Amino acid sequence: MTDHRLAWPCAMICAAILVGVVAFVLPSGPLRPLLVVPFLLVCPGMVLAHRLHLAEWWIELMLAIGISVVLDTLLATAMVYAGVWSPKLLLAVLVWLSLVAGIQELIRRLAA
Amino acid sequence: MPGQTNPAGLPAPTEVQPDPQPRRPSFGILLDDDDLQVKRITRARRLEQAERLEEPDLDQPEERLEEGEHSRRLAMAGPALLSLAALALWAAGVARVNLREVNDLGLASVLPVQVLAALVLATAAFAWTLGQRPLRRSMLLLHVVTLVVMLYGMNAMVEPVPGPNILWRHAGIADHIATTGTVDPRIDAYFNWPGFFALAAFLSSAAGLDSIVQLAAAWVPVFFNLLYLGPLLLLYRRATPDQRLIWLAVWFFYISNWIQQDYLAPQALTYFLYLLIIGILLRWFGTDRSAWLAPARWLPWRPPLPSPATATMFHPLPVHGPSPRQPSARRAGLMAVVIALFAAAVPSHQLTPFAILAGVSALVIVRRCSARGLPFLMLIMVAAWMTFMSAAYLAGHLSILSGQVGQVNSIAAANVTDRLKGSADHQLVVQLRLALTALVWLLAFLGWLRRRRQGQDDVAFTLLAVVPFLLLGLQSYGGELLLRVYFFGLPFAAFLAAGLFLPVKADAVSWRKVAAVGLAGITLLGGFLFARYGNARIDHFTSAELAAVRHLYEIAPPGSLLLAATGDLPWKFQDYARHEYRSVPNLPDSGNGDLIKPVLGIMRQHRQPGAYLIITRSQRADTRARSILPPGSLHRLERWLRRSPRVQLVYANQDAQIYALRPGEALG
Repeated sequence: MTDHRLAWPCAMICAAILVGVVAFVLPSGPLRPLLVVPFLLVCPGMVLAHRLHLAEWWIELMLAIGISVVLDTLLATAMVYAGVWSPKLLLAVLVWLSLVAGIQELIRRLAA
Repeated sequence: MPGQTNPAGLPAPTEVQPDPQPRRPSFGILLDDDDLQVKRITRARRLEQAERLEEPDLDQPEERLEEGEHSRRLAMAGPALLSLAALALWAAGVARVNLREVNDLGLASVLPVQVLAALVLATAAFAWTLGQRPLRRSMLLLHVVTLVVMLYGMNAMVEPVPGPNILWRHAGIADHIATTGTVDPRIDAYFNWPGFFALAAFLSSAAGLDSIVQLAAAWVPVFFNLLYLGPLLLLYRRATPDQRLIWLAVWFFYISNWIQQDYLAPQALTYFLYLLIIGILLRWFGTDRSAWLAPARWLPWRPPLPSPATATMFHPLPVHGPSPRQPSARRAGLMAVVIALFAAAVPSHQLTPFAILAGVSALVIVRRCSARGLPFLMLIMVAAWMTFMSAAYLAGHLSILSGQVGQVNSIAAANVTDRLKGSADHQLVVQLRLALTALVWLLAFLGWLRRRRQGQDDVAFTLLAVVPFLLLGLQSYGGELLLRVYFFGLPFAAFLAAGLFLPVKADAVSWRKVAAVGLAGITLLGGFLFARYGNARIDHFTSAELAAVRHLYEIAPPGSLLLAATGDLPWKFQDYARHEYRSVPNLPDSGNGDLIKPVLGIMRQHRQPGAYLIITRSQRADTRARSILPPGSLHRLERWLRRSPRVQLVYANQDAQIYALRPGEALG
């Protein structure tokens, strides 16, 4: 039986692992922008938007995109001004954050 | 008893039991707040209604029953088929567009009749659905998505190279950040507000792309406009429970958004942030009945709630539906989101933070937003950025920026009259843009009047539509401020305009209203095609033009002067800070029609390490359409370049030529 409660954290974990593999393990190819860009525009923000416990999924998705854009923009801008520009590092941080949040949520839901 | 049969042999209707734990809807976007709040208690009633609709009337003859079933099926499938037919017709039509035949009226001058028919079909399908009962929001969503693809994907389908030229410049700034990891505030204003470009640099680098342009740049307008749909629904649902009005407002927004600020640009992204901030504030921080009563909690008596007769701007009626009490943690989280959204807008765009600040302040002043400290925080954030992060730019341009404050006449002239020049066709396009803008505002005003007479409270939306005009008192923004004012006010003007046709909630819409909506939609669409794509001849680039620019970057040594007849070409997408870029209209003494002397003079000044002049098809079109250079002067310059012993043609293809000084001239 499919447990819908686990769908979100599982999707987040899978997305983070997939993007991590495509971006850091496999050689660059046409698949990479197709996976990395949607991931960066949705997943980092989804971690936070999901915690607001909003009633409707589309509002959650919309806020997730907004928060992701904010995180990407502010962190990238901060890196530029701090003189530590490293897109790979930033991508790794966001993948790691999404992965940890997904695992944490999965554990919480399994325990509930 | 379930399972029993009646005398006619049909099963008896079973008693409908409310579902104690209804499943989450698979199309949640199609349900508004109220639907969700009352869904549990009205589910049984809805099922009853649905059964009643589907239940055959036993008194009717069988043929009539079948006829009714056919009509019902046609009504169900008709709009969807019409919409899909429109999309297919549109795709077939745009595939036949030949951009080389475009004149100064823009893309509309070469659009095949299939494209126009497709837009009429799409409008008819939408109007048909709007008049149906019950209203099917999934169908309305399909129509809106189809419309967005057709209206904003037109460029992507017909242009071999994405435009306009500013897109390539933005890509160049992102490329500079991606390759150097730095910003140089002395280069130009963009580097003082680099947030969007840092994001673009990050996305392209993380995706393993050489340039952000490779990221389906031509389809970016479709992406951004679909992105705006969520915040628009959030906003409109706060203003009315009427789904017909909500979707009609969405439709009006898309057929009136001719401004073309949805390409790969900071404005496109910060506009999303703008809509989202206002949407969150109205949805979760709007004043409501409970907020109105809060101060009275400590009083021995309670002041009466405002009624339509006693409500004023400062003591408003509750906005649509009481805002359900939110847990304080959620409110705190949402406020943190609002502040973060604004924090991302501040370093990304010069103008949008001021539009947000003006809108939020207006909402707070008229008590439509309970976050009273927010405008002060926003003001501090904007001031801090301007003081500490963009000081280098402001110090050099303070007189230009401050000199226009309050000069409304000169700002209006820069935004309107200065644009009314160029070829007759181009002037017609500019006039059509002004007419379309005026029409949207007229419809909004009439809609506001009509809704007001019906007792609707539209103070928040009216203010948000009008407040952007305050920006006109600041500066001309390169002659674009009026466009931006329209852009910022458009979501709210579109809602009020839709209110002209559907002022109050009704269970059904008459066919006269449906026809009126269709007529208004087709009129606005006609204006949209000319207004949005009126610069198609100027804005589109050919593969040959792009190839010429790429060749220029290959041959020009670092530090070269790259000169163009006008700035309308796909350049600056790489080596943004490695070369000096100039265009002929900005050269001194070029006002008398003699371009040869200033061009040769500046090329000689920059003969080391190199000076190159590039002339392309799009620049010729730009010069002709907008009268940027004196009549005939570019033609004379080109004739001289071909004959002169001082310059040589170093590259040529069917759409572009590159000239450089001959070796003797270059050596001085």
